[in-house]
Amino acid sequence: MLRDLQGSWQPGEILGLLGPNGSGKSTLLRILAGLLPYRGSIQFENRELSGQTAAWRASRLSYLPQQLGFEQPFTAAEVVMMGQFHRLDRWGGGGSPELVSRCLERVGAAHLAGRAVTRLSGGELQRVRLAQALAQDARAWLLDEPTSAMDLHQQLELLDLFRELREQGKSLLIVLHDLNLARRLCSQVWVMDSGRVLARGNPDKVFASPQFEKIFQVKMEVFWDEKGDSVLWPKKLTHLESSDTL
Amino acid sequence: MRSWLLLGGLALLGLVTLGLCSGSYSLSLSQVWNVLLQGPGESPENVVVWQLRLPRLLQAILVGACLSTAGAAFQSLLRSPLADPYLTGTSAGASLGTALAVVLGLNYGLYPVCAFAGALGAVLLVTRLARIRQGVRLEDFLLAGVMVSTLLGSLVSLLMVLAGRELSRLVFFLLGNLSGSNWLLLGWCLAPFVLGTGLLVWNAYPLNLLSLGEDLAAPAGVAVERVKLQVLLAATLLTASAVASSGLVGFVGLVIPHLCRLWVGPDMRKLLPLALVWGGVFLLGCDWLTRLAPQELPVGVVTALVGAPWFLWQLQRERKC
Repeated sequence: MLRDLQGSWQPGEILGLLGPNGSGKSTLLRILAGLLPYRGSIQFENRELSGQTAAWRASRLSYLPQQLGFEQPFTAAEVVMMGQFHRLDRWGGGGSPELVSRCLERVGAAHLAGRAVTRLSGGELQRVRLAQALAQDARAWLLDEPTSAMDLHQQLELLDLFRELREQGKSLLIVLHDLNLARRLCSQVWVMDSGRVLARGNPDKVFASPQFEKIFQVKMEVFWDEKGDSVLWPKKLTHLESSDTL
Repeated sequence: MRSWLLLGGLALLGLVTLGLCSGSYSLSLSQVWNVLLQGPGESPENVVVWQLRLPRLLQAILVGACLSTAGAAFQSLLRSPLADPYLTGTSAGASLGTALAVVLGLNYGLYPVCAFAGALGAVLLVTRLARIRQGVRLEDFLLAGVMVSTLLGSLVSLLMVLAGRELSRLVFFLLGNLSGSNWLLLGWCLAPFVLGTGLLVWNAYPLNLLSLGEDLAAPAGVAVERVKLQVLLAATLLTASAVASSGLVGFVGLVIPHLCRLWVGPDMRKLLPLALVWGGVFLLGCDWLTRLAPQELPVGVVTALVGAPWFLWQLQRERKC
């Protein structure tokens, strides 16, 4: 259940969504993706979301859920082709196979094209779903912990992909747990707890705020290196420091 | 996929020829050909071919195709290889309809009508029970299907006790058989068959996306609720018309789509035509076997007897690959 939610997010902006487990981040994404009903108003390009057709939404919002498992042995290329669904004819024809291979290549998954998605690892699945979202080519992306199944190298490549999308004027809404990743990527973060957004704004300001420390029960320390880069280091709050403890 | 479809077509042709020629009144190929060219008439050969064998063969193909495509649709929609056309309460509803007809002493010709009404009623009830504000949740649908089936099944048992002398008729119907086929029944079956398969084929590609989960299908642009409803309606129509005309023929709707999926993969655009043809082949073959026995067997018994070992053999072979 989400309450008193208000805010906006612009083309070419990457918005980070943070918060403890169960705070409502994924729920917010599912509502925006059209998978859950809502009361109130959500507008995209000045149109109310709930009144639009599935095809209209698909060309504007793509969604990558956290759970990625597949039960049907379609090939990766077939799954990526499904991303173009809103542009295909009724029988699934008229799609571009070149686009499919280009998208798979972009995420380094060209070699997976003919493989059944039921036999892929978590990281491979994640890349196939990203390729699918690339093929869908929506104006805004909703991503639920996209880095969770990926190794470090893949995470960095993902950051490059997201920046590239931002350059193209796409809007990204990303649920993240890694604060340093959020600082490197997002121009704005929202921090949620119990279904409300309790803090928002520039990541560095938000992470240093008392609300943030209270929600996560952590104290932030910042370390600087000689080049002027900084790293956030969260520490557990002790009983004495904390205003209301467990 | 083409070769499997071609093979199925050839098998259909072969089995139809075999079915027209063989039986207690043997006919040669040229006799059958002549009779077919003559059109319906009065001679004994003519009556055997036009009134007895041809409608029965077509009925077998139609019922096999109905059950198999409905099974393919349910398995894809519910994302479960164990789904079969009967789990939505259609079989129990149809049985109850027929049992009522038997107990009330209605005319034999009205049995299919009662069966159809029962099947449709059961599915409407199941859909109503599983319906929530947003649409139909598939888990609830399964659960409601099982519950309604159990409830209606116990009512059938109750009626069986009350049926007394008419019991054997009811049992024969419940076991599934094609011996009652005629042109009228075939005509009855045809409309739901065309409508049902048409709706399924229309939804084949969206169903592909839906079989990967609603979380994928809806944001990709599939009108999820509409597709679900149309597919449920289509599969139900197909099942109900099969049950109403031939009783409960088990196994076809479970196994044939499964086998076809092993052959061509999960794409419904390939799976549906293949399931349609091979469902027909399978039931036609099984029906031919029932006629070989000294005393005519219910086809439902043969489908399971033949189908289970064949299926297990295929599964074993697939594992080895």
